[in-house]
This record gives sequence, C-alpha cells and structure tokens, in this order.
Amino acid sequence: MDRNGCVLDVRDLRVSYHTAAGPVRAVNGVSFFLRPGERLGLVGESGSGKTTTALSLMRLLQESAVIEGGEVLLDGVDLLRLSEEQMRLARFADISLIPQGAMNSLNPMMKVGEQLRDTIRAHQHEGNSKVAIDARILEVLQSVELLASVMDSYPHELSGGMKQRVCIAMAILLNPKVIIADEPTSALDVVVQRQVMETLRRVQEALDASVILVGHDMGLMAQFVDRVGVMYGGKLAEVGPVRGIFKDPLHPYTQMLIKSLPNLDMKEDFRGIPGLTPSLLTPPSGCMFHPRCPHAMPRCSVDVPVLAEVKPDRWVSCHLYDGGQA
Amino acid sequence: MSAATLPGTTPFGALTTVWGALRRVVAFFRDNRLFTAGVVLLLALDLFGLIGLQLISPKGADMGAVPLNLSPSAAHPLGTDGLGRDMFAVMVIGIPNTFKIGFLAGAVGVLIGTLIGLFAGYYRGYVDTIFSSFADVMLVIPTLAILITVSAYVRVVTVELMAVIVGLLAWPLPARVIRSQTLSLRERLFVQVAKLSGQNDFEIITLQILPNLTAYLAASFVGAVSGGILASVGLEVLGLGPQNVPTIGRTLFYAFKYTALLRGMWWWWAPPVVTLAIIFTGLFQMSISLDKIANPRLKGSSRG
Amino acid sequence: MKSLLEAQNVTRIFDSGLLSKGHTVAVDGVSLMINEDKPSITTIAGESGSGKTTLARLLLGMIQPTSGSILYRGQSLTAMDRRARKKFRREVQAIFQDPYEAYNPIYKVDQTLTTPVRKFGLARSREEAQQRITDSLRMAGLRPEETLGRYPHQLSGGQRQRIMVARALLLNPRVILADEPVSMVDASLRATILESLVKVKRELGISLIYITHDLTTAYQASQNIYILYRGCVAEMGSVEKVIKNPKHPYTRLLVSSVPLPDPDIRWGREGEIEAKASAPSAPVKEGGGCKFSNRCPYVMAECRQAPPPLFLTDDDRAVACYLYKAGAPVSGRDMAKSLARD
Repeated sequence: MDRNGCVLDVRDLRVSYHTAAGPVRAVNGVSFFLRPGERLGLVGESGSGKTTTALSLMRLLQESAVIEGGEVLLDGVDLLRLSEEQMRLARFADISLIPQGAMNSLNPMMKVGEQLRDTIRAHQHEGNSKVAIDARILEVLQSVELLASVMDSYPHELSGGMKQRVCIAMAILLNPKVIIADEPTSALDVVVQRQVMETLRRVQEALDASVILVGHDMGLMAQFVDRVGVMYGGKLAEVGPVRGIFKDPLHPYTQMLIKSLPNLDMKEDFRGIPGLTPSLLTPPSGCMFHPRCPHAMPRCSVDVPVLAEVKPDRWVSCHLYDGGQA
Repeated sequence: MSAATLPGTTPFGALTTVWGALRRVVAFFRDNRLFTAGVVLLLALDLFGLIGLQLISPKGADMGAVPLNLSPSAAHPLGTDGLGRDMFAVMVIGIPNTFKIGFLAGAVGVLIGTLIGLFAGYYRGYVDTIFSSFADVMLVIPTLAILITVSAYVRVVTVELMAVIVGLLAWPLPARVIRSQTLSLRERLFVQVAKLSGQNDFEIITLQILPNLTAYLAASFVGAVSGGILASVGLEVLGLGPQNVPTIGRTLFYAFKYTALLRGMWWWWAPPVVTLAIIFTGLFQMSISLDKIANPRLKGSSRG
Repeated sequence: MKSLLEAQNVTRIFDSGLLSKGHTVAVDGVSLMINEDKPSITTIAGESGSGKTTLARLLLGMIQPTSGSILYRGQSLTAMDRRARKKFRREVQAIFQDPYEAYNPIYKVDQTLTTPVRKFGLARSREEAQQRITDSLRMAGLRPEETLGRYPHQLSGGQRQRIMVARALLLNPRVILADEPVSMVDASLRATILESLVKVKRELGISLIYITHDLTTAYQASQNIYILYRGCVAEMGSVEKVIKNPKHPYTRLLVSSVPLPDPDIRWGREGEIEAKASAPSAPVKEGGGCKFSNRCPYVMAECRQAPPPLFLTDDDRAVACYLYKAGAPVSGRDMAKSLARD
C-alpha cells in the first residue's frame, strides 16, 4: 500500500502551544495519508493531539499555537506553504471542517439560508447568480435530509440534530475533497447521533470525498470509518484498517484501549488502563507510553519509536515490532 | 511535599499560608501594572497630604491666618487665597479629607450593597423582588438631588457624616452587580456539592460564593469610591457639606464665589482641579484593570 | 425487605415564567425503589429530556415533587425533622458528571474532603480526620500524597472525579447517586472508575443509582434498569432482559443506535425501527396517549387515546406499551418493589 494517489498526505507535522509554563508539543511528528473516498478515524484521549492535528490541516489554530514543521499535501499542494488568501480560498472549497460544537458556532442572528449563501459567496470568483446559489443550497439541504424551509429559520429554531446537519451541509457546499469532522456528535443523543453519522456517510459517498473523523468514541469509529489512526501523547501509535485495529491491535496502548471498551459480554468485568495520560509539558523520555506499558523494555525509555509499516497497511510505532532496527 | 498533611495542622502551616498570601499579593501587583500605577498615584497624593501635615502648621488653613491674595512664593509655595488661607496648608489638609470621604462612602456603599445583593441573589423570591425594585428605583433618582435636600436639613455636617450619607445612597449599583453574580454562582455545581456535604446557607454564602466575588467587590469598591468623591465634591462646590474643615470642593466653591478665575489667581483654583484630575485618573486606571481581572476574556492573548 | 430510598409515583412539573401558560412535565409518575437489605446497582437510563437528571435531584431531596413523594427509610422527605434530615443527607450522597465544575476553584481539593468530615462530625481529632480522608482516597484508587494539597486545576479530570468518589465514601452512605460519573472522563479511565464503584457496592454494601445514557456500561455495572422517555418509565426490569432482549420500541431504538465497538456488528440490524422512528413531528399533547406514539412504527389506535400502563412481560421486567397488553398490568410502585426484592 503506497501513498501514491492519496488525496491528503501529512508528513511529520509538528505543532506546539506556547504557554506561560513553557512550550507544549501537542503534535509531535505526525504522518499519515488519506485515500480518495476513504473514511479515516483519528482517535485519542484528551491531550493526544487529535484536535490540534485536525485544526492544523485547516490552519485554524489559535494564536498561541505554532506549526513548527511538516507538510500537508492536498493533491500535491502543501497547504502549510500557501498564503493566507490562498488558504482562505482553499477552506471549504478543497478541505472543509465540521468543528467541535459546530451547532453552537452557527451565527444566532442570521437565518440559516443566509449563512449558507455566505459560504458560497466568500469563495466565488465570478459572481454566481442568486438563483444558482440557492439551487445549490437546496440540493445540498436535500442531501442531508433537511427541508427547504430550514433556509428561513434561525439556528435556535432547529433541534441539535438539525443544526448539525446544517453544518454538514455547509461543509459540503463547495464539493471539497476532504471533510474533517471534529467530534460532530458529542453533544447529541445516541439516536440522533446515529442519524447524523449516517447522513454524513451518505453525503460523503455521493461526493466521493474523504472524511477524517476526529473523536474519542471507539464505538463510533467501529461503525463509521474504514481506517483508524490511534493517537497518544501527540504521536500516532498505530494506523490500520478498522477491523485490524479492533480484532488484532498491535500497539500495547491500542490493545489496552480495546480491552477497556465496554461490551455486552463482560458483566462486571472492567479493564482500565492504569496510570495517567502523559504530561506534554514534561514528556517521558523515549516512548510516550512506556510508563504505563506492560511490555516496556529498557530500550523504551531511551529510544523514541518510529511509525513503520510492519505488515501490509498496518503501521505501528513500537519497539516490539522494530526488532533490531535502528 | 512529603507526607500529605491537612493545611494548618502544623505550627508552620499557618505561617506558610500568610507568607503565601503575601507572595500572591506581590505577584498581583507585578502582573497588573495599570492597577499598580493607579494605586501608586493615589498613594502618592495621600502621602503628600499626610507628610505635608507634619511639615507645616495646620493653622495656616484657618481663615485670616495669613495675608490675602498672595501669589506663590517661598513662604507660601501655593500662594494664599482671598480668605487669608495658605493654599498649601489647605491642600495638605483637604486631600486626605477627600480620600477619607471617598473611602468611607465607598465602604458603606459596598458593604450595604453586598449584603443586600448576596441576600437577594441567594434567596430570590419575595426578598429579591422587593430589594431589586427598590434598588432599581434608587438608581433612577438623581442622588445629587437627594443629597442636596438632605444637606439642606442637616445643618452641621462633619466629614464622616457626609461620607456616610453619600455612602447610604451608593449601595444600589454594587447590590445589582453582586446580586447577578450571586444568582449565577448559586447554581454552580460546587454549591450543590457543598450542600450535600452539609454546609448550611450561611456557610455557602460566606465560604463558597463570597470568596468568588473578590474581583467584583474590588471593582465595586473602586466605583463606589469614585462616586463618593464625585458626589461629595459636587456638594461642596455648591456650598453644602462640611464648613469647618478645608476640603477640595469647598476651596473651589470659594474660588468661584470670589471670582478667582477673573482675578487671575490661578493658584486658588488650579491645585484643587489638578488634584481631582489625578484622583480620577488613578481611580480610572484601577477600575479598568479590575475589569480585566473580573472578566478574563478582556485580557486578550498573552504574549507567551 | 425494607425500603431504603423510594420514589412513589413522583411527578415534577416546571413552570416556565410567571405569567406564561407553558409548563414542562419533567418527571411523570415514576416509581423506583432501593432495598435496604440487598445492596444493588440500579440504572436510570435515558437521553436528554428523559427526566433522569430531574429524578436524580428529586431523589437527593434538592427539589420537591409536584405530586407523589420521595421516601427515605419509609419516611417522606417533606415530613422529616432536622435530625432525620441530617441523617438522610449523610446516608444519601452523590457523584456528579462534571469533574471540573464540582470544585470551587479558590480552594484546594482538601476542602471538599474536610468539609463533610467537619459538618457531620465524623472524626474527633485532626489525626482521625486525616486517617478517614486518606482511607477513602485509597478506596477510590488515589494516592493521598499526589492529590492532597493541590488546587483543582493542578489535577486531571480523572483524579478530580475520583476525589469526588472519595468524598461520597467518606460519609459512609447507604446510597450513592452517580449522575453520569464517567461521561466526561477519558476512555481509559472510565473502566477504572466504574470498577471502583462496583467494588464499593460489593465490598462496602453501598447501593448505587447509576444515571447514564450509555447502555453498555449500564449493562456491565448494574442489575436493574429503568428506561425513561420524556419523564415516563418506558421499560423497567433486569438489565439482562431489557438490554439483551428489549421489548419497548423506544428501548429497541436505543439499543440498536448504540455504536458497538465491533466493526462486524454495524448499525442497521433493526432496519424497521430506525427507518420509521425518525425525529418526531410534533410533541404529543398532554393526556394524548403514549408519548412515543408520534415516533413509533407500531403505533395503534389505542396508543393515542391514553398512556399505556406497565405490563408485566417477565417476572422481572415490565413494559409500558400496548403491544404487550396480554401481560398483567402492574403499577409502577409494585414493579419497583418487586425489582428491589429480587
């Protein structure tokens, strides 16, 4: 499995936050690729760097965060090297984002239709006629199963699930190649969550776009994505097809994570991961996971493991699998 | 930190908390330069008054104590006014008096306002409706009008009495601020947890809610002090207020009455005006920086 | 069997505003019982709007029911004198969802532990208080030297939540209400915290009321479950039956929507339910029949007439649905009692 023909190629991305207590390496050398039409899940707990990674791809980080290195190639074009204006045009047109808490990021003072029109208008070079813009919007609203009447509603008049679908609509208006969904359903009930995720899947398949689903709900990942990238302490611990990750996890963290997931066959059998998530301010030496790892070897506290393809399409960064390699 | 101990269980525990508190205060002044600037300005002015009182005789501020209408000279650094008072002596006595009035009025206003605000915000219901309506009405009535009416009836006014009267009218604004904060704080989860842990209403108000209001209390205090000084100076300029003690406002009253402006006696009206400008600048600086502390979102991004 | 904590047909209505006519029925005729003799873990499950949070506050005595009563050891909360009230307060404790908001940011976390010790007179000396606190911290899986003396912002969400568990344990309660105790905690810590809660029931004999929307952890942790929908009990019974073999259409919808962490068992197993039970058009009017009727794929004429009572389908499960009217109708209170007994 090679990287050729992939729509998004992230290489060695490094992002730090500058805090009063010192620099925090939120994303520490993350590399992965995304194929056309593929759904990739970026899963990790708080502090793993998954949201920072997602926002870096869109260059929407806050001021205290600095992208210190790496490349983000979207169809061969490095997004990190674009000018502000070029990036602005690329957003939503080539790569779009459904941000965390998106339902609350809709402008409460504007009707939904107006906000959708704004998205199109901000990216048009030639003035498209109002008729054409509205036709596109109606087309998209239909694909997310919202009625045309939604155009004339204010956000507070819609339910949580409907608002989230408006955000999906906004993200696909301009036919982007990559859609990043950052915990799109965290505030939604389980029934609505399922409806929204199925809408997203249908829409994405119709567009033949790729999706990066960022979140911490492994259950959602199992239901929705094709491949999973597990993040820990600012790095990717493991990347692989969803079945492989769940049935045959390779990295010790992934193994313990899968074991700790609640399932209906384990009555009163809880298996948590002992220890605490690592401090990004004073990270452990060598492998980030070694203080909690049941298979830690002396080498693990010295050498930082590298993400390598140990089986076809199975990438792990763990010394258990790089026997003897430098 | 070795073995965990409950704070205050060792004799050193108490000392360390006091030292810790002192260090926090110093850090606070270091981090909030504008606030410190304001405090320094006001302190300098007050010190000027207090130190000056040691240097010269307060008798110089009595009427007829010195020759009239002299422009500034070595003997009288700020000249003398048309009533035979040494202006330097007048300022040296008047400035601390103004501060005294301001702080006293501010303290009275904030104390009453906080008590009412806490009560109304925590218990809500009828108590809240009554006090809030009362406060809203008082906010609309011009306090100067009330003060003038009151002063007309109260013949002999000491500095302290005037401060208390002004303070009694200053409570509605702090009450509203504290009430709205209390309304939101009482819903916070840690208040529910405190209730489950057995704390009664009084303890929750004083131990859980009140300590979270320090920024608002400070901001209200600064506001009340400003308002108090403004109201008292206003009364004095109109000729009301304490007559036996030199105050800044009274000096301006005399300056207007005896047309100091037209007579070119700038040393009569300028010192009080400049003093007032300094006082209000200092208070303003304190109040903006307190705003930023109370509302961290105004802080903006910190430069790393 | 002695009733420890009981809700008898409680209803709670919230009025919106002084003059408006609108009101919300948050809890509608719910009965629940916890047995004093048999420590158990009972789940109250539901989504937002189900009334589970309101029910929790009613059970904790933080708000009063509009009708019906909450009984502790057989005595109604409203009829208690100060001593009985204090005993109730001590014996019924809670752990809340948000490990950030539960702390007053100006105090060190020690204060959340020393306050109950002081207010309930749990120790006669400082050393004894110290000992009790370190013991309950250890019971909650924490190391006292790593947690005491710190401010809340210096600890992780998981640590803060465990301190809350320790706080609840300090008072040696008989019942702990855990309102979504792990939903705001990292996945790797959830299992650990839930395990310590189950341990609490097993080793200390404390009954737990677990409030959640997560049916999988509910299955793992508890024996009995009450499924709430818009204030009413839709289905109640043993967790084994209700979750593995749900009968009420809403329960079936819930169970089938849970994203199972198994890529081979994907959504779409219960085709019929999801296809038809989409977002409701208009809420069902009061007294206008079953509250789920406007979303239910099996709706019948009688569903719109009157809200269904609970029908017994197994001896340890009842469903409020006319589809099961062949079973014997049972009152909420009787069913709650029967569940608590077994």
